[in-house]
Amino acid sequence: MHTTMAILNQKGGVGKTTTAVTLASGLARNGYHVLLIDLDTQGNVADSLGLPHSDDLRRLLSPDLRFPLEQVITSSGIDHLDVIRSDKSTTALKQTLAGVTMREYVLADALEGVPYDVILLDCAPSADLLHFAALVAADYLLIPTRLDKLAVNGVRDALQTLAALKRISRCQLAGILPTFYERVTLESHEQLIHLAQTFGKLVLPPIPQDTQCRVATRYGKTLWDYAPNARALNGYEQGNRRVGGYLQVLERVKEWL
Amino acid sequence: MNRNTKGLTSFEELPGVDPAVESLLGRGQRRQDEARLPRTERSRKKKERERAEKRKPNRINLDLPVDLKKRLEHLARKEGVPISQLVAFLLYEPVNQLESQAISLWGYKTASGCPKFECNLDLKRAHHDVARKS
Repeated sequence: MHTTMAILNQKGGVGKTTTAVTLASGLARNGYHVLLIDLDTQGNVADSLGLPHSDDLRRLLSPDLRFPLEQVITSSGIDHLDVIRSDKSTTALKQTLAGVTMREYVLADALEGVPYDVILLDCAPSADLLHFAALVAADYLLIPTRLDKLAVNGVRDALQTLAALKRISRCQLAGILPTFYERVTLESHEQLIHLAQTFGKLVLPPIPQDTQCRVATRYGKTLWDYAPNARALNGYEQGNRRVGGYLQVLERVKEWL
Repeated sequence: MNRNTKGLTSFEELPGVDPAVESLLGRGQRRQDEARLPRTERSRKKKERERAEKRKPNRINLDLPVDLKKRLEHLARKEGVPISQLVAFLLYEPVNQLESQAISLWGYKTASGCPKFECNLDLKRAHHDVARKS
């Protein structure tokens, strides 16, 4: 029995792919068997892992192809972590699926009984068909958000989509992940308070703004491999402990599995 | 965002939040409060915070009887060693004895009025017993 988690925000550039890749590789390093599925036409999951783009997703979901799962899965090069990549062909896939009945279930059906502990869905920053399919297939929703007004509005939009799909989706909001957090700017501080006031315990430890994330992506490596001491992983130093960062978020995610 | 609106900028009335978020917000709020202080006060607060952050996890504060502290200081000076290292050195033996139950705290325990602890140790009696043995 696997747990499926959608990583989604309708606003772009909030750190969805970095979050998906970092959490997927982090869970894999902790011994979980993880499948990471890229639902974005930009195919950035492959870039982040140093893999070539491929139409894996189209071959899995397109009604006229429907390849078996084991034929579209690619090893990421990291133990216990497999990926289903995406590329521009995903645009054609969405057009094809538009004429299919029960299209919202296409991903949930394809993932039925797959032999993984965790499936992470990296969604595109748009409210499209695959976005809805992800919410139907997922058990949990994780919403990364930058700490600015527009991205925080994206959280509201994602929650409205989730509410709209309530009748066909069992997906629950697991957490809101503040990304690009700058503890020295008042705007970050105020937006974090705003989130915490609205969502309470659902707000996860923030991920500090860290250039190492972008550099790691450039080299096609995960943060765990490229910069294990990065602030985005380990959080801020506060006295004798560390606060925030993907390491702390990973511990929260493990509690949901 | 209206920065004067209490609630949006105040950390005090938050619902239950993740401890990490609470910790970061608490720090941010403290920084904001400090920024409004006069310069000298701000600098004093900063020094205080830096001192507190430098505290090591293996550090504890000891409340020693005055006479014992004087004796330890005298011994440390005489041996030319730091007093904290001398205390740590002297503690090893009784800690081993207590762990192996060669000695016990029985007879030195008195009822404590503090809700945090069940008992206190009668240090005067311990001092008297050590003096008698020597």
